[in-house]
Amino acid sequence: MNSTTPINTEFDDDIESEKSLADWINAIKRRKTAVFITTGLLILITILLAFILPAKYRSTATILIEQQEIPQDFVRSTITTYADQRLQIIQQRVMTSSNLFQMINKFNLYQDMLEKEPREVVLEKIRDAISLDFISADVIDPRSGRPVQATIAFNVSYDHESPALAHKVANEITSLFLNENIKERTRKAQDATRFLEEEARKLEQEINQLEVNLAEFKTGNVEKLPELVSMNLSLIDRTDQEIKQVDQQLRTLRERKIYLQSELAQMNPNQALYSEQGERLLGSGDRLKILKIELARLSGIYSDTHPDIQRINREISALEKERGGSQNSNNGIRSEIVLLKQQLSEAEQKYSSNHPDIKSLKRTITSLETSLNSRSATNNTYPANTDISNPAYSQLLAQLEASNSEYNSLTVTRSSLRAKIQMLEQRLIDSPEVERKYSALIRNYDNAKLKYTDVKAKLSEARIGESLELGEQSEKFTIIEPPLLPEQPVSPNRPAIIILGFLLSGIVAFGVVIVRESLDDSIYDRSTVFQLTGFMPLAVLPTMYTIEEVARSKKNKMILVALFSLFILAFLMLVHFLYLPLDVLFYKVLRKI
Amino acid sequence: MDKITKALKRARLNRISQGGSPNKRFTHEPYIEKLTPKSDWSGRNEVFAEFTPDTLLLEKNRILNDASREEIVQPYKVLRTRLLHILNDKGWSSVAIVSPTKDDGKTTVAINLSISIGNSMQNRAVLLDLDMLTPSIHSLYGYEPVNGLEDYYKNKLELRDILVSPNLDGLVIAPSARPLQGSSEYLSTEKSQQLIAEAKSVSGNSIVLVDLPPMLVSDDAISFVPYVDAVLLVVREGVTSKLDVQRTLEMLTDTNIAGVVINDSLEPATLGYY
Repeated sequence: MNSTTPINTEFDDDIESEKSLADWINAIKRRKTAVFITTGLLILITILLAFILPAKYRSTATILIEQQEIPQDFVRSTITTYADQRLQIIQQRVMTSSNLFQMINKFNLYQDMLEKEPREVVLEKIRDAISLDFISADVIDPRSGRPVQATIAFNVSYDHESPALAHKVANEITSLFLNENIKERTRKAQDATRFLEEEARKLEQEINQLEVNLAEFKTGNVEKLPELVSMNLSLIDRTDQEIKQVDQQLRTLRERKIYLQSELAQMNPNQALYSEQGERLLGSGDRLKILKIELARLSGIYSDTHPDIQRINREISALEKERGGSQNSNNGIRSEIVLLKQQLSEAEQKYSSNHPDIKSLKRTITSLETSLNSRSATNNTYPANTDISNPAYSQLLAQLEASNSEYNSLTVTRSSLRAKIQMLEQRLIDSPEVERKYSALIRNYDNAKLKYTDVKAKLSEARIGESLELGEQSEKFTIIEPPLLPEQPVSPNRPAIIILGFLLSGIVAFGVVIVRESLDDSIYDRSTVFQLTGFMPLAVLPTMYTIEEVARSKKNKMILVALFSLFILAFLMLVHFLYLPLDVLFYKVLRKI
Repeated sequence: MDKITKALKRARLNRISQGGSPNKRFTHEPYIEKLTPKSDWSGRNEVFAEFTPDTLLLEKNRILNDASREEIVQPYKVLRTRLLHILNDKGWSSVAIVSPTKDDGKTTVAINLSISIGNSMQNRAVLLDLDMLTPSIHSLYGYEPVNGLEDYYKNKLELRDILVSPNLDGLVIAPSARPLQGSSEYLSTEKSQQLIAEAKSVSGNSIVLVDLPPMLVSDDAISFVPYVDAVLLVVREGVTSKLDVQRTLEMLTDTNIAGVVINDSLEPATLGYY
């Protein structure tokens, strides 16, 4: 305590910050001037503010959002957004600058402000003055089945200093909201219909195009169409059968031909002629052969000029003439060729191949062969009818010829049948590819048709929906509380402002005390002294007020009391004349209590 | 309850009959027995110049007087008693009243403390005004001294020629009549030691109180402080800054500090020491 050296000369903030209530009371006492000034000033300002602030009147309309009257199950509206979402959209549409300016001009709102401030500020002001409150209820969402907050109604209000203007403008805004809703809904419904119509038209075009494509494809691939596969198969079958039949016929014909040919070969075309004496007359051919043999025999005996030989020659030439060109029969040519070939082989043994005899022989052989070939190609190997005297032979010949021509025609038929089968088989091969393309086309077509019917159904629904909107049968806004002419101002809440002012002034004054205390480095209490010096103070001497000072402070107190009562009186008078007569206020307060 | 009160009353009566003070609270303290009762000034029957101060003026200058209210007198009594206790304990008898800066109320505290000591039964007070730059004790008393301590330092006068009594039995004052040029030089001379010794010898149980200029204003106080037994530091609530107190304490590291007093406090007396 009475140590001669200071123990602690350093500040200790921790101890210092722990201020007791008494410390704070002392601090306030020390700063009472500042406290008085700040509280007084603030209270004065708030009271002035409370009375100077112009009264604002609010006119409010309550608009009910009515649900569609016709059940949703019968007619579905094309508008699917939620009511509050739509309300926001409508609000944006109503609150456009042009709308607001129309209103400003119509009612001459904020004229003084318009002269001074830019348009944006005025617009901001009117936007602030318009307020929209949603009234919600807990409902079950019919779409999701979940409980949700649904907006069932909303309030549109407008605040203005003049109650009449507030009323008028609120009316205007309300009607704007109603009109905008109808416009919005109608427009949306029409949009939906128009969209669906456009869609339907596009689909129609698409279907038409697909139909054309399909028809073209069909005509282009008529035999290869998959539905003709079975038909083609049966056709192939049938043709196969036909070919078999033709083959059978051909075989029979061939056998018959062989038979006929063999018959013919055994038969002499010329019927053996018998003279009256019963002597068999030789045919010109036999006679010619005999003569030729005779000639060969005689030429060996006689010279050519021998009359016999000459006679025989004449006879031969006459016979040959009789037989015509063809008399020089193939058989003769053939035998001549055989003869010549014998001579040729003999000659080749003797001479070289360049020998003129051999050459001439060869030439003769080839010329004979060509003539034989040409003859066999043009003529039948059989003798001409003219010189057929045997009727059985000619009958056989005719039969053979008929068989031949039939054979030929059958061969032709067969090859044509073969071609047909080939063609049919090609069709079958092509069929899958065609089928693929075809089914793709059909699929597209079916899809388009499906879509089309769908869109058509929707379109008809949308049309009904549109008429629903046009007839205002769907969800609509109904005014249940039209805006009224406000009688009492909605703001400012003067008592609240005053009370707040009192509170605020107290807080601010305390703040001032805190700030000044923290800025003040002076000593105020024992603990500080102890921290600084290490001594508790021997004594704390109170302020000595002189008698004069005491008297003066008494006088000041009296003045203060007088001033305060004057102030209260003035306040009450202000309340009485500007706000509410005091007796009315008294009863009002009494009623509230 | 009644019994206790009666017992206390009886005890007090006994004490008074033995020559003690009825107001004395520290009855158990041993120094009371050692103190010799207050007698005439050193028994030398010396008579100092006297003046009668104007009570209204004293009241105005915040100096204790007959009309002073109890809530003002009481704290000074506390201070006096505690200080005397300490001085007695340590065997000190001269105390310089110092403060860091000008308006800390150091002179007022010095005067009132000396009055309070003068009013005590055992001690007398000798108050020296050594604030020679702006001597003010006499003006607070409304007294125009002819001589002052400046004359003592200039070797013109003896201390007893300067001492005056403000119509109070236990208190004599040595004022400074005029400001003294070069006071710190004078104060640091042997003369100061002599002055203290003389002042102590004015009476048997006299306590010498010295009013000095502010510590941080001039070097007067620092010059004189070595000649006193201890210092009493006065700080004024809400005026004296912590920094100044620190600086003052730094200057007083070699000096005995009898204690610290908070002056001009708003702290209600009831929240005081008891």
